[in-house]
Parts: sequence; C-alpha cells; structure tokens
Amino acid sequence: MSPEQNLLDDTVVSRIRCWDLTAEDLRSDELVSSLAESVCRDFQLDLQRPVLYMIFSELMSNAIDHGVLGLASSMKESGSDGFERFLKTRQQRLSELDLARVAVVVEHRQIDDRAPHLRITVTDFGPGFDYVRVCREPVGLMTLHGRGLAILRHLCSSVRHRGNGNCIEVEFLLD
Amino acid sequence: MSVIFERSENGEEITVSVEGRFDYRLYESFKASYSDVGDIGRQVNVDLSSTEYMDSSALGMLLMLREHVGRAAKILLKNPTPDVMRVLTIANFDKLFAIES
Repeated sequence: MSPEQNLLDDTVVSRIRCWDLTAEDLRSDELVSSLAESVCRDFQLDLQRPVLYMIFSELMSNAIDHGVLGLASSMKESGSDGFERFLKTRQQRLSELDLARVAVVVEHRQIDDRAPHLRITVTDFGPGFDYVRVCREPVGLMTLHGRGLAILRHLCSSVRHRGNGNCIEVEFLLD
Repeated sequence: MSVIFERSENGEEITVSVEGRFDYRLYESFKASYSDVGDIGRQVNVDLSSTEYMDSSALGMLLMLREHVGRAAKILLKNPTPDVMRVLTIANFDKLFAIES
C-alpha cells in the first residue's frame, strides 16, 4: 500500500507504541518476552500472548541474525554441525556488537467496521537481505532456513518487506 | 524455561520435557538432555505439554535430535499445546514426527 492510498482509506490508528533498540537491548535474553508482554499490556491483549511471542521471536531473529549480524541462513545447512555453528557465531557476534539499531513500531489499526488489527513494523539498520530471492525459495521439509518467514506468513494476515529487505511489516488480526 | 530429562524404569525410553519457552536459549540444555545421557533406548519422548511457545530455532533443535537419534530410536512429540501444535503443523513437522496429543 502506498502512502497515498493510506491517506484515502478510513484507517483509524488508535494507539502506537515504538521502541528504539540498542545493541544492549538486542543482547538481552528477555528481548522477545519484554516486547510481547509490553504489547499484551498496552494493547490489552491476553488471548494472543503465545502468538505474539512467536511473531516477535521470528521478527527479532530475522532482524538480528540477518540485518544486524549479517549471518547467512545457509550456514545452518553447511555440514552436520551447521546449526550449532550458526548459533555459536550468532552468540559471539552478538556479544561483540557495539553499535546497532533496530526500530519496532506497533500500531493498533482499524479500517471501517472490520476487525481491528495490529501492525508490527521492524526496521534494522543493517545491510538488508535479498528478500525477493528468499521469498521465492521453497521451504523444504528438512531445511533449517526459511522456517521463520514461513511461520510469520501463517500467523499473520500479511507479511511485507520494504526498503532493501531491512524493513518488515506484518499485520495480525485481532478478532 | 528448562529442560528435564527422565529415563523410564525399564531403560527403554527417555523423556525430555521442555518447560516454558522453547527457543535458541535452550540450545545447550536441550542438546545435553539427549547427547550426554548415554544409551537413549528405543524411544525418545519430547514432552511439550508445558511448552509455552516454540520458534523456528526450536524446530531446528528437533531436527538435530532427529539426526542424532537416526534409526536407533523412535521420536514421539507429546501433548503439544494448541499454539505449539500450530507451529509444528506450519512447518510440516506432523509429517516428520509422530505426535501424540
């Protein structure tokens, strides 16, 4: 949707919450739970808690692993210990991370009298990834990469990539 | 969040229970629960009844377990909550693993 269309429809945004996450925030083991819990509290959602955890988990892994740390998912497949090496490299790079920024915006939106939805936008200020190629890749039964996006596409009513792949916007129906 | 290991009395089954959130932070303990325990017997149960949620790295860990076990034993995913079951289904894991509700 272009900004022009946005102005023309009758979307009512009733609440917005933004986070500007630093390297220290991204290192925190409680990153996903603090985001999900804040959203549940702020937007008075309780039933959706487990789904929000899953959505935030995939969104943050995506932003951190690929955007901020520049790790390629294909590494998970290389050799029998690929996944293990991926996690260890991730941990190592995350601990050394100095400057990083990830912005998270959560909006409660409603169009006319349709069911309201939550729009979550995550922007990482990293080099981005080739989402056109990644989205075209079929997710194999035994492959380890691409599952995060597959999960997001199932849990959300829409998943869109913006910019050079450094921005992802998902919408999640609240009904 | 934690991983609990238990061996059945006859020694033929091990059960790995994942409590709380099942994500990359559990990697070390999840792996240790089946790779450092000696003989894994004939069946590995992964008890998901107390698993609050599971993300894509948890799916990766289940595949690692599958690779480790090979044909030596059967893997049974037990009692996933509806939300966890949803993720398993999305990832087609219901075709890769036996799931018992």
